[in-house]
Order: sequence, then C-alpha cells, then structure tokens
Amino acid sequence: MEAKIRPLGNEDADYLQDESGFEGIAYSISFPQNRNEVKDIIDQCMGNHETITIQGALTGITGAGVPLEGHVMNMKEMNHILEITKDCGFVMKVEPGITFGELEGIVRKESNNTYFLPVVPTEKSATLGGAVSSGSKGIQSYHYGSLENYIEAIEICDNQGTFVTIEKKAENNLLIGSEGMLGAITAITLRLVKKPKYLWGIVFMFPEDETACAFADSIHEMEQVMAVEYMDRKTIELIDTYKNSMTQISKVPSIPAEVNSLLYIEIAGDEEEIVEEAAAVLIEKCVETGGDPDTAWAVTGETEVENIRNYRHAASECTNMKIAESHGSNKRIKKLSADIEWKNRSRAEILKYYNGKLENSGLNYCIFGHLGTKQPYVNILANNQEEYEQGKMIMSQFIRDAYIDGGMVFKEHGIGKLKKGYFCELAPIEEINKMVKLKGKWDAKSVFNVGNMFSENQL
Amino acid sequence: MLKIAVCVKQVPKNQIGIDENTGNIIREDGLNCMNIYDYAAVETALRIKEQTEAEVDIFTMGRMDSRGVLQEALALGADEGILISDSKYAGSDVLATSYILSRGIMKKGDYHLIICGKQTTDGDTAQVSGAIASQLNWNYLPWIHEIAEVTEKEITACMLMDFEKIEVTAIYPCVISVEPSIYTVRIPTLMNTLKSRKKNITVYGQSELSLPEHAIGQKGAPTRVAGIKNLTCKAVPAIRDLTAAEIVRLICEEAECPLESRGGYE
Repeated sequence: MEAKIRPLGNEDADYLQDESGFEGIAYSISFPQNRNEVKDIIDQCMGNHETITIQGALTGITGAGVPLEGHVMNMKEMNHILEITKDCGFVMKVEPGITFGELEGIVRKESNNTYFLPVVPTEKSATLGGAVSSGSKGIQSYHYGSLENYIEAIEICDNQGTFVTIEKKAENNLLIGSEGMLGAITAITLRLVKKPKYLWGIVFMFPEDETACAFADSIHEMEQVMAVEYMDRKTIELIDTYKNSMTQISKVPSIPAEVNSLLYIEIAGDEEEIVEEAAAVLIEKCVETGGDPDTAWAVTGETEVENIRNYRHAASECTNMKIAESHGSNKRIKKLSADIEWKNRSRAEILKYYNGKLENSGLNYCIFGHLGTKQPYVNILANNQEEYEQGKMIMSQFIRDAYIDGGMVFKEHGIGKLKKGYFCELAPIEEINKMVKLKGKWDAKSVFNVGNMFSENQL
Repeated sequence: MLKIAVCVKQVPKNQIGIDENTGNIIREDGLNCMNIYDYAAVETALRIKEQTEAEVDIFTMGRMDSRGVLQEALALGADEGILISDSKYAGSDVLATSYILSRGIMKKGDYHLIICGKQTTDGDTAQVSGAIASQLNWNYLPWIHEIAEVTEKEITACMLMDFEKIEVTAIYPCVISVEPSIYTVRIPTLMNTLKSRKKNITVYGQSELSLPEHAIGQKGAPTRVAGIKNLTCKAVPAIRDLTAAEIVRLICEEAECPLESRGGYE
C-alpha cells in the first residue's frame, strides 16, 4: 500500500522548528492517522533508505523533534482513544498524538471528573507521545513522581514495521526519554489516579531567595503539598514585558516590586478540612521561616488554579519568546537552558550557585521551575553572539558541576540536538554508552530521529 | 454605612455548544466558574468598601452548587454571601431572574447600591442589571468604566458609550453595571480565603421569598426559544439611526423568526 507521504512544501515550515527556535530541513512529510499508516510510512521510508524524524506538537525545547534530513512523520492526527477500561481503576489506551488538553477533557468527561493523569506538562498543547519521548513531567511531579509511574504499556513500531508492546516493569522506562530514536510509538496505555476533591493554589512572595528556600525546605514533608514551583525577580519582570499580549494572564495583578522570590504551592486532598488545615500549617511555616503570609495569594478549585498555573507556564513561554527575538536577529543564538535535578546541594545553595555564576558574568538570565524537587530551570538570555558563546561556557560549567554533584543532568527537557554537545562531552561514558547500546539494539540502521543525543559515528 | 449588593453568576467554564432543539447550553465537561464579567463588579464594590468602609454582600441565583462563586467572592473580601435557589426558579429568563433577584436583595436589607457585571458569558443578554433597576424603580447607570466619586448620598461615574464618555451622578438607591476594564481584579489573599471558609452562606428559597408563581421560573418567563440558527454576519448601515423596535424587526427578518408581541414588551 502506498503510504501517505508527500513532498515538504512551503506551507510545512512549522514542522521544521520547535519552541527552542532550532530549525532543520526535510524532504517529505506525513501525518499518519493510525498504526497501519505508521507501518506503511516506515516501510516506504526504509525502502527508499530515508531517515524518519518522528515529531509531536513541537513544543519541545531541545530540537529533538526537528528533522535534519529525510522524512518527517508528524503524529498529531494519531490522537484517538483506543480503549477505556473502568473495571479496576481507570485505564486508557490512547494514541501518541493526543494532546494533554484533549486528554484532560476526555478523562474528565469519562470519569465524571474523578480521575486524572497527574504528571502533565504545563504546556497543554504538548502531545502525550512527545512527553513520553522527552521524559517531561509537570509541576505535580513533586508529589506524584514521574510519568513512567502511570504508564502500563507502550506499543512501538520498529524499523522493520513490526509492532512491539512493552509492558510495565520491562523496558518501557528505557523508551521514556528516548527522544523517538528507537521507533515510532503507536499506543500508550495509561493508568490514571483518583483526583483529589479539593485543590488550592497558593502564591507566597518573599523579599529574597533565602527565606523562600527555608520555607520550601520546611514544608517538604507535608503530605498535602502537590507542587512547589519557584520564580525569581528576573522571570517576573520578563513576564511583565509580555503580559499584556498574553490573554490568559493579562488580568493577573502585578507582583509588588519588593518581591524578589516567588513560590507557587499547590495543596490538595479529599476532605475540605484537611486542605484548610494544610493551608493553616503553610501560614505557620511561612511565619517560622521569616516570611509574611499576609501577602500570599490563594485560589481554590480547578478553574481558578488553572489561571495561576497559566502564570507559571508564562515563565516558559516568555523565555522562549525572548530567545526567539534574539534568534530573529542572529540565527546562531539558540536556547541556553539547564533542567538539572541537583542531588547534594540544598535549594538555597542551588539558587546561590546559579546566581553567583551568572551575576558575575553580566549576562541576562532568569530562573524558575521545580524548586521543590531541586530542579529549577536556568535560562541564559543572550542578546548577541558574544553573549551566546559566553553563555555556552557557563552552561558547560553547570553541567560539569552537576555531574560532580551526582545530579540528574538532562532530567526533563531531554537532550535532543541542542544539548547533544554537552551530553557527549560531559556525560560519563557509561551513560552515553547505555544510550548508544539501546539505539544499536532497537535501531541499528539509524533510521529514527537521527541527530538526537549523539552523532552517528558513535554508533 | 453604605450598603452594597453585588450580583454574580456561576457559568460553565467552557461553553461546549447549544442544543439546537431546546436552546439549552450543553455543559459536557461539568466545570463551572464565576462569570468573568462579574469579577469587575466585585472588585468595584471592594474598592468602594476600602474607601468608605461600606458593607458588601454578594448575591447569586442558581443551583445549590453555585455557592462556590459566593465563596470565591467572600475570599476576595466581601462580607456575606446570599444564594437564591429553588427548583421553582429554574427556567427563569431576564424578566423572572431580575424579579427574583430584586426580591431577594430587598429581603436581605436596605441597600444603597447594586453592582452588576456588564453581561454573562452564557445568557449574554446584558439586560439583567437594567431589569433589576426597573423592577425596583431605582436609578440605573450602565456601562460604567470609571468611578469618580462615592459619597453618602450619591455616586458619580463615567459611562462608556459607543461614541462618547459621559460622567453622570446618580442619587441612591441606584443600580450600576460595570465594564470589565474598570479595574484590574485582585486575587484573593490566603488569609481571606481561609477566613471566608468560616463565613456562612444564607440561602433563600421560595419558602423564604414567597414569590407569586406566575412571576417566577418558566411561568414568569415570556422568553421562548423559537429556534437556533447560525447566521452569517451582515453589516447594517447607520444602526445608530434606528429605533430599538426597528432593530428588533430587522433581526427577526434576518433570522426568519416571527416577531411575537407580548403585552407590554414590544
């Protein structure tokens, strides 16, 4: 059967770039609508000796879904629900192109709003397949852990056009974060969890990082805490510059000028009183660690919490917009960010370390993200080539120090093409060899997502 | 002390669609929220409260689960929440709703000022505030986008008309409807949110209000959905020169919808 492949046209430019601004090239494109079409496309590309770059919604920030050559297989039309089982909990088998926004709506309807997938990125237009491939997670991973905890099975189509289903506790952990390099995911089986009935989102404001970190440390053992997200003053100011053009957050009041450090905490539970008690404990802890709970904002319920999450998500969006501006004037400037999960440094030490290195450099930067899990994102916002080169050197230093610390260096956003250099140069050889071995086992002919993680000559 | 009543409404967060047969809103995802336009009404009342130490009570009419929007308004800093709810009120249109709301407000106390949002995102009529003023025979200031002065006896505000801004002063009692642009709406503080959980919400039903059955619910609602059609937009020149009756006739002609005359409404 002839696969639905067509030459890449001018109208397909959006499929050659992701959120990082990383751009690539390709010669043909396809939008499979089911697993059989995926197989046909792979068969045809194999017959033509063409490489295949599998991509989702291109919300990634490492270029992992951006092609460097050959064929692009975009999975956005493979967004169907294949099966829902409610006999024992809530299990659903879905295609990889479903977005988190779509998934959320369907689960809400099918479960009467009693179940949910807790580990979701703040970017709702991201696809499930993309998140599995990059290993991304959401703000509630603080409480719920990684996405892999909620995956029962993954079906993959390999370069021979054979469908392989990998059950939990086998190798699916290896597929998570494999950046489309092993084969095309054609189905994912998710086990969802009961949604807590009551959810609060609370924004605590602090004059400096030390108090914010002391507060974050003090609430670490609290069972009701679902998320602990951080934002520095530079991020707040960056959001302010774009806020009026962003409908979802344009109505959020300004953060007072004296606030230099902001923590967004989510608490949840099945009993209203317990959640209220948790909020009262947060107030106590805030006072004990030197903060002022009178300035804290709080919203309750899914709808209102979503509005505050949009503000948190704006940090990522605005960073990417700022980088896109610099990239527009100099194509060699790309995203410079780290998503290291530190192991042996305290939260305060992590922020002090980043700020110490970057303040001395004179570069523009911002820090936000999962402080609760010791994984704040640091972004260097280079304005010119010189700053970009300087920023790359500092990023190398961060990664080098993170490996010494024993941290997880490429934890959430993946490696892709943008961080490949750092990975190959700085990661322990065993870590690189593990991925090379896996690639050799699954895709020895190097058909899928060529250029991610390491070079072909390392195979 | 100045007493202010604010009317708010719970609406579906995502309006999925409209049932073509009944005209009812299809609310498949079950998520509700406060009507976005009503935040401006609550904020306006709270700003006046901060200036004058006024008392601010929030009213809503709807199902029992509408108490969530009252709790939210209390968390923003309002003093008391009043839920008007009874199965007999179901099916109320603008006329019946404004009647029930105005009776509920009158039962609760002697208010100087009622503040409403510009419109709702579900009904979208933008008529309830004016209808409340009419029911109570109070002064009415619509389209307010700026409050100039609030005294013990009157309010001076700026009305945002299509082609001009007009500063007007109204003596209490008075109903105003505010534009969403009037203020940036605050986010509730954690302290107020916790305090609001301890505040009681007063519930008025038919046993408390004892309203005549011909004036409430479907019996009190002259509005009938004759049909729902998707219409293509059409430019109508010089609409400002037409009378209201001419505009209604024009709409009915375009929609191929019969214009029914019901006593006193044309």
